[in-house]
Amino acid sequence: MKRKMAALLLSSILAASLLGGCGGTSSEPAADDQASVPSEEPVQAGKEEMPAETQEDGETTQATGEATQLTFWTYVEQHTEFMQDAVTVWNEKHPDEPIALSTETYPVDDMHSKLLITLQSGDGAPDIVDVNVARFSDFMQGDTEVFVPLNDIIEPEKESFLEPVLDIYKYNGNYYGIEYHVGAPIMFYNTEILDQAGVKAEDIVTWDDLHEAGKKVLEATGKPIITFEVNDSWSYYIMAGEKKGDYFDENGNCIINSKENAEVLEFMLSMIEDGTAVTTPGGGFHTEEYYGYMSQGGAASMLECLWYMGRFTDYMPELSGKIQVAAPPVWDENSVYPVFGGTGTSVTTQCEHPDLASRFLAEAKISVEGAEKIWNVLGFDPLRWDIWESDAMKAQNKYTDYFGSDIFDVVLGMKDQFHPSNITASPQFSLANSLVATDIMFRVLNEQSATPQEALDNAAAEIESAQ
Amino acid sequence: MKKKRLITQKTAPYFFCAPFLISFFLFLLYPMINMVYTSFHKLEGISKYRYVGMANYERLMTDTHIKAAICNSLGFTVGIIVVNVTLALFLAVLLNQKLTPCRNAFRTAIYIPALTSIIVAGIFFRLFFGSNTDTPLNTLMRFFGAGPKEWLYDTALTGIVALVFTSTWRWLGTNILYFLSALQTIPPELYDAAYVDGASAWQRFWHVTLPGVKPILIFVVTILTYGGLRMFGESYVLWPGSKTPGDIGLTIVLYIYRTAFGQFDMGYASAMSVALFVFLMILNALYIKFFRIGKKEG
Repeated sequence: MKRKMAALLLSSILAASLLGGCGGTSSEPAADDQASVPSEEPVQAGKEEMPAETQEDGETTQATGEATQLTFWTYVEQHTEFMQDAVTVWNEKHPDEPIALSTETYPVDDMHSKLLITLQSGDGAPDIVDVNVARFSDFMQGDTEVFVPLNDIIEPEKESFLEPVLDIYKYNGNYYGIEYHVGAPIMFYNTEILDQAGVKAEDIVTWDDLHEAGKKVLEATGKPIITFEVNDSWSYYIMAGEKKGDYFDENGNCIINSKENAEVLEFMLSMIEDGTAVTTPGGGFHTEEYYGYMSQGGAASMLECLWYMGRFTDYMPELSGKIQVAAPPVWDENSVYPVFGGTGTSVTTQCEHPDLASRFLAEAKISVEGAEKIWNVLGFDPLRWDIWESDAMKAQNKYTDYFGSDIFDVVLGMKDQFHPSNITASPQFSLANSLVATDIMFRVLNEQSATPQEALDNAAAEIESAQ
Repeated sequence: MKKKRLITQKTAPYFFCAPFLISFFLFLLYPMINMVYTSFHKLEGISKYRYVGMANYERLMTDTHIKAAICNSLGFTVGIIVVNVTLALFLAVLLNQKLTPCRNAFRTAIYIPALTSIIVAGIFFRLFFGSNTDTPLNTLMRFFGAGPKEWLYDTALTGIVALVFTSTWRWLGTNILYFLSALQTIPPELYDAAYVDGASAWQRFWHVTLPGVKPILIFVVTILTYGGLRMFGESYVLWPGSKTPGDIGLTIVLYIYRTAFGQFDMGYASAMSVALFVFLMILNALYIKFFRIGKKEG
């Protein structure tokens, strides 16, 4: 009998350990997975279970008293520093309701898939989360509200904000997210290379000017004037956006194969063909290959948004003092500058303290102090236009050290031509974006196996069949 | 009165199998059934599934990416089978020779890559195959007088070569280990007898070694086939962000992953998974028939 009992006990332990090994606790999102993905910073799972006082690393802000635990997921390491700084400020101002924020950084795709799964399962989602603008509409479909409306904190301050960018996250009259930055498109010129060819960035007004300047640069230095991404879409999206081209119209109808979009691809192809442009080493602007290529003076310019400044300061320190920021070239006098933000921060409906989380978010990102820090800490162009001409925007920081003191004047010069993109108008945007990034750019610019119109028509047909 | 016993000779097997059965039903069978259900639906938002009938399967027929993904996966599978069988067998024979110096050191060295994580190794190989002129492979190409190449963004073939190379680096040691264990089961008398009969080295390999390792050979080919067709890790890390321009390096499982988690199109991803499952089951049946697995020899 004793032996039987022992056998039963052993087999139940075996069963329990097997199932225990498979399951894990819901507050500890897939620890195995975290170990196997290249995360930007070590991720500490399940930290929220520990009392704040016992945590020693800098990621979790210490708070005395009964601090409310909140979790924040992001895919941009810089944002964690920004949020922790905001928590320190909050706790100083509100000693009666302190917050302890634990932050977790994941690679962009992993974070969004984890978010989807935790929202679907109804458990394990963070309180506050950064959502990429290109993925935002995915979460807004169907009849389940997954994010808390932020109208209470946004509407009182709406007048001071660049409204088109606020509206990117507006569905059925509710704001479900708040953006970090305008995302003004910016041209980064390497003045060292331009000087060798006797070209001045100020003289480049239109894309045709850039093409002509490119010929001079190529002749003098043998280097291309610009690089175009082949496995990312944003430089193309900006150039098409200048012509008011987009993937979807404001009602969500697919217009990816429009005449404007095809014309932009034709232009890019013409520059590739005569050598004034090349496709990016490593495929995109966010690869080690590209940072190395640009650091060594591979090309004379690149087109991205203002937030790319952080990539220069962090990954290409060699170019300090040699990069000039300028408004991108335009097509003609009717051109606009498309703005589409980049990352919205939302409070999930699984948050147990939605009111506190929303008010914290308001102080962190909506208040004047918060907006100033978005510029000074993150180097982003804040949505709050009422501080654009204040002294805070002229203060010295690592970006002014690198690019010179007049960075924000460039943005101010462009503001009347800002035009919002329809980036959250259709849940198919992530598919369209993926098709541009993995198919269209490569087939047209690199492989040259399809004409611009053919490639765009194929993409339109594919988007149609996916609906 | 005697209490009715819970564990009898009849019920005991169920208890012993319970841990496996419960985890199988919960973590394999249920998700599979759910996958078939999902394949007839389209996910809208977070939890709303709209019935779309056969639309996902119809889309499968016209999707050009899936054709590229199948070609890449098959190309990769054939590539790793050819390289891993020939190279592993050749090296195993070498390492099995008493005359080979430092045998144990080589055995250990060749096996070590199998212990690394594909994510870590993949990052190295991504830079190794990088498109800059000063990356290791392009430096090597220059040394041999050839021009630099954008290995990962050139053609589907160079993409497959990069994948096969990365995968072989990692798994060669394991396959050598399989073959070594098989080689050591061949009685040395057979070689002696063949030698006495005047067989050449090649004849000894062909008529003694090869039949001796046949069961392991079948095992290795089968494992490599399934490993190849469901490969994901290598292409996930070699092309950052699972973006595969021009479908270079796009494999079936990577495409399923990208559709499911990149575009949240769970219905279509499920339909692809069902199709892959059916295809693998057919292949399984063919293997069993062709290799006479489970049947007695003779």
